[in-house]
Amino acid sequence: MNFWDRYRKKLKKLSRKETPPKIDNSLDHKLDTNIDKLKKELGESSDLVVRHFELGEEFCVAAAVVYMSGLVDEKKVNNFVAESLKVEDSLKKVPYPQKSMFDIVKSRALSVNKVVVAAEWDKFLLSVLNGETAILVDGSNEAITANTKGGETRDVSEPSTQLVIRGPKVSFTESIGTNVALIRRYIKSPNLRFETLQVGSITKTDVAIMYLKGTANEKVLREVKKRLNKIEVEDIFESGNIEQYIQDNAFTPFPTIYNSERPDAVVGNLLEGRIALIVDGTPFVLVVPAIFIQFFQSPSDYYQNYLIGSFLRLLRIISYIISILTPSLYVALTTFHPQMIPTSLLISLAAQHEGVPFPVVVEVLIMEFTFEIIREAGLRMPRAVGQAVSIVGALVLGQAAVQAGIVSPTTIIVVAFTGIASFATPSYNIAVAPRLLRFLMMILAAAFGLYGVFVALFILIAHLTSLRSFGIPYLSPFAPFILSDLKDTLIRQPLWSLVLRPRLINQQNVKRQERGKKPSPPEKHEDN
Amino acid sequence: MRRVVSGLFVLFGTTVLLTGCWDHNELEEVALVMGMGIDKTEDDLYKVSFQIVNPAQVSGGDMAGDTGEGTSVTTYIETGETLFETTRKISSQVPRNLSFSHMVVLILGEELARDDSLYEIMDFTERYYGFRPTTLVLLAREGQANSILSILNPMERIPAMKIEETLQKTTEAWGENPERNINDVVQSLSTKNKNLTLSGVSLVGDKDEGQRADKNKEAVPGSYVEISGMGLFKEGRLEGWLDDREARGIAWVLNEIRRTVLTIKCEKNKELIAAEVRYSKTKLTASVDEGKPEMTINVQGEGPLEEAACPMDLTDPKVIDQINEKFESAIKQEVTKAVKIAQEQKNDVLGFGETISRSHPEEWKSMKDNWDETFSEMDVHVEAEFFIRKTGLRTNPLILDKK
Repeated sequence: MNFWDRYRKKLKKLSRKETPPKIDNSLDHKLDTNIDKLKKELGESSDLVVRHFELGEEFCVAAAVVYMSGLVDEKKVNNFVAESLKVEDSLKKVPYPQKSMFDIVKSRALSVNKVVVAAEWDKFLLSVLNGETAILVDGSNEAITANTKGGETRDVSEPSTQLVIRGPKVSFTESIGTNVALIRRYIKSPNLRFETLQVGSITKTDVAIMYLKGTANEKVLREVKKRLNKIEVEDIFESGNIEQYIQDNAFTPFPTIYNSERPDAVVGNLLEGRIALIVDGTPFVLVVPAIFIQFFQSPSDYYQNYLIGSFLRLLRIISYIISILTPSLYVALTTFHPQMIPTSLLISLAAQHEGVPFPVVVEVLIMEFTFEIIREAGLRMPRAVGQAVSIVGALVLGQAAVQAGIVSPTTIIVVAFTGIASFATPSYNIAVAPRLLRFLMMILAAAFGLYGVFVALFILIAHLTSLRSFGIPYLSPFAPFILSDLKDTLIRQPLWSLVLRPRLINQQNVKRQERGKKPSPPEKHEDN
Repeated sequence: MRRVVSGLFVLFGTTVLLTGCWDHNELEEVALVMGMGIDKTEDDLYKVSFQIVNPAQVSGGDMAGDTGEGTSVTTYIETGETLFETTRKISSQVPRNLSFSHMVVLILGEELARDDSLYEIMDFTERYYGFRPTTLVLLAREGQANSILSILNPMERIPAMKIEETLQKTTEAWGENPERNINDVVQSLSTKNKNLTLSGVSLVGDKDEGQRADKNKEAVPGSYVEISGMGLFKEGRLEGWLDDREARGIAWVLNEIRRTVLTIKCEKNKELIAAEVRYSKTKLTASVDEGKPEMTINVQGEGPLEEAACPMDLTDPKVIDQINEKFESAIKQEVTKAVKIAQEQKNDVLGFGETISRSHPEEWKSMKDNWDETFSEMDVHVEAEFFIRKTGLRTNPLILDKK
């Protein structure tokens, strides 16, 4: 206790010290002062480009164009800022010097789409660091910033996660502008709103909140904003960082925030009334609130026949359960309840286990652990070597382990089956949860048999029921049970029957379409 | 929150204490007992044989090593005053823990069945947690249970399973032998009339020869085990055996025929017609007239004609009716004979007493003390209905084309 008290006091002291000293937050009238200050603040950084000009013919006024090379589109700067400042006629014959020069530059001279006036030093500095071009005119204590953002970005490409056979082959990129545009392209509605804010005291990462006004739940929206504003951290690199700061319950292996790099998945969720968070610098867009079953929905469910879509979705859920339960059930049944295994199977299991030096639990633990290592190693390896690792791991190691009599073939089957089943989940971040839980279940199964497995399952379900995502129960619509929302959960009913939006997610614009739009063959006419 | 968690822990903790037979046992430490044979020694001790699987010899695949080298099962024999004693004493011979949960047959020696031991045995099999109530019970006819249990078979590698499956198949397809498990036997021993029927299993050929693994290389086995006959028990004691049609007659009355084959002769000729009974149902109706009980047995059956060697026009419905009648009288004959035998032995294995006690509880009270006599003298009417559903893939017999 004493230690903690001291630690806390120390922390308090530290936080007191860190109150920033007051600095002058305004631009100077003199151009040179501003330029010098900028250079000094950026530490004479070599990627800062300052270009001096003389404006006007009768009254020469000094001006400068300031930008960070690499962040700006150099072509834009040359063509639309620097060039137009030179060419613009009105500048040449300015009747009054200096003061009006700034206004003319602002309103006439620039042919860039977005021009903003920055009066504060902070704003000016940030826009320069953000890839904008600032124009400073001598004698004016304001700066004009022109949007010339550019530089190297990645092209829109096929998604690397959440692959589908049928459906758009577009994924988000690292650029927030592109991502917003990708969503806008789907929803041509004035109700699609997006608000940007910056998170991270050093990285100043742009985070866009996107939602469909009138459909999204206002309460959730307020909560999202509140939580985003509460983040006080220096750096945000990825939406995963944001996710960890805004989730409801941090102590859980299950994700309570959905993410996707597929625009169609995000758009579908926006239309259901959810809210998307787009973070600059990552193709993974967050969607809140998220419920458990949502992680088993793949965009392709909606693109194909509903019967097949429903079957595949059930298959995914079953394989998820398999990936949690199989090894522990195997351990429990073979060591505690052999009477539950059919006789001939039991004999064959016993035959395989003859000569294996370890108990079944140890065997399974060894193989599970090996499998996890192979999986992780295969992921980290260079692509060319990764193949070799998985072949060596899966085939050679498994085969050799069986032949050496270290593990029994059934164990290999169980572990491999579990591993494959865990890949069937479309969402990676919920698919990893069983990898952790499996070990816990196995140990309980080894200690208490089926009893242990079911206690673990009971706790797991209790835990899932206790989870919330922005106030929405995680297991809804099963717990709480909402009959009308079940239409698009374990199975997906035909699109024309999904008349209402999920009730918990959205309360205002509930109706999605008219009833009775089931397609049917043309009616027979007499005159045909 | 903390209180909830600790509450849950207490809850889960107590349930651990509540669980029944539940223990950790590695697969390689378990000896699976597939069959158990019980005999009596001359000193009136139990002689129990346990048939234990050698898993590696049974299951195929690469890992099992060379199958066919050793025997698929080993039978260990132990004697003791009580049965439970033997299951523990056997540990001096078997290097593993016995597990009875996969036991398929329990074979009782004929000698044993002829005295009162059935009660003691069935008490143990029901009381001891290791047994499944679904284990089949059979009688070793004219022999010792242990010798029957140890005859190897090429098709089913485990003798006990061979016996179990043979019994199941024959009950299903032929119907002479009843399929009774531990639960059935205990049930009938604890009802009012303690009469029951059990299937017999007997050894054909030489015992020593049948125990060797290399005999599995013979195409026509010299010694084998077959299901034979039906043992009739009276008050828990084996009284006698019935075979063939007589045994089937009992099965008709007990409504235990699932499928069987009926054969009749055509008029005058020697040629035969056979039909398979695919569905059958027997109803017992009791009536009491001035203290005298009467029983009506109504047997219904139907099925396709499967073999026809008579020159008869099977497209004619009248002919079919005639054949139906013949089948009916065949059934009647079988049932009547079986009833007569039971009455002569004064052994109500047919469950007439049970039927009467249910339908006429008042009258039963006066009857039950002298039931054996009453049973042997009572009137029994047998009715039979048979219906040929179809004539198989052919209509008229091929023999008609001869002329």
